[in-house]
Amino acid sequence: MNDDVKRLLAAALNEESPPMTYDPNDDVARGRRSVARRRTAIVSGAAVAALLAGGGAWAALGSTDTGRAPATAVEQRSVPSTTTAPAEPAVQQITLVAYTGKQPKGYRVKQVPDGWEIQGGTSSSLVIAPKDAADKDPNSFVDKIAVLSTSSDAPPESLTEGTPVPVGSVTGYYRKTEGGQILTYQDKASGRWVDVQVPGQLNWDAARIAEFAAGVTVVGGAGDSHG
Amino acid sequence: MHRRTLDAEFAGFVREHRTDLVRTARLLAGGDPHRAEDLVQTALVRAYVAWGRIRENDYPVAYVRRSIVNAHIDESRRPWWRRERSTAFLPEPSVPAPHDGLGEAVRAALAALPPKMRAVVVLRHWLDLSVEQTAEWLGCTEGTVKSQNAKAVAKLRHLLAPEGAPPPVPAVPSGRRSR
Repeated sequence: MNDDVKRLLAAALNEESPPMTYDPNDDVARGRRSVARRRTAIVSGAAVAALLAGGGAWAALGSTDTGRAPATAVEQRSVPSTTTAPAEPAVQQITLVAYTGKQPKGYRVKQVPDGWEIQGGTSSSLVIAPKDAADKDPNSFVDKIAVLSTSSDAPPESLTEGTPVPVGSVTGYYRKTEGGQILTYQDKASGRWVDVQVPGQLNWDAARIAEFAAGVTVVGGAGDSHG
Repeated sequence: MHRRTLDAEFAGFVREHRTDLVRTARLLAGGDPHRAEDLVQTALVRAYVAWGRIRENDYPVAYVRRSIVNAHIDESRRPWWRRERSTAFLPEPSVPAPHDGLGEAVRAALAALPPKMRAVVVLRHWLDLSVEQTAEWLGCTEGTVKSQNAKAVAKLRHLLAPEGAPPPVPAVPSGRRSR
């Protein structure tokens, strides 16, 4: 049986067709660029961490009873105690605000990140991006929130991979991927499984993604997305 | 080791193994040569970053193959991540593949399989991995590998051999054990 399948796979490769040309040096160049990007990210992250560590200590000194106005929620979250070990650098989560615009096709949305807008919706996808995003293409998901109805041919076990997270009254499954985070859950109203893909720049944790997802409803027979 | 020496060594590795890596990636991508190239490029970038470590392995190509499979599975979970970028130059026109009935049929049948099921077929039947190795690569149980493989083979047979027509490859002789 295996040899038969192997012969079929060999036939699928259609060896008679001319192979795509390549230069190994192109792969070396791509690798070098990746290394350079990682080094830049590490240096940038270290610089930000140093600034925040210094700013956190300064904020802690300022939080004593001096008659100052109460700190905002973000400052409170990021103020480390001076009697405990230094806290990790604070990251500011972009908050959710009520969505009051026109509802997109296929979905109902209650909240969006502050400063973000619904860029487009189809029968199988919903894209939310910063209002000042240069990329206005609703078919491009890079650095945007994408809400997608999962493919109907997705293996059942793939839908529950990840850390369980409550999404309203159902259980979602959260995992990190290269470039972002994904929360998969079954929309209660429609019964469809939904992927919520979130870019890293929102600095959202699983709970915040779940809070956003709980406000999204699939309506009108939103269809499959296929990869 | 000097960076230039590592780069030359990596380029030699690519020269030796790239064609086979692309073939594996094409099967995972259901025959799509452009998606396959994306998978291979992604995996080779990862390999380059880790080259100082993986070059000491007995079999560094296995690392890259596994990276291709991971990229394939990751991509299947995030449909429509656009990789295209607008350029000032038009890409070279692709050379159309010669007409090949069986090859086209198999590619279409492969593409009809869900991504993880297709990966099971490629790992078990193209790379000849064991059930245990396949389960480890895909992060699932051996039982899942066996059931996915059985379903995949059944589906391929159904798609490639319409009812009443002889199968495109010789049937397995009776008494021969399958893996």
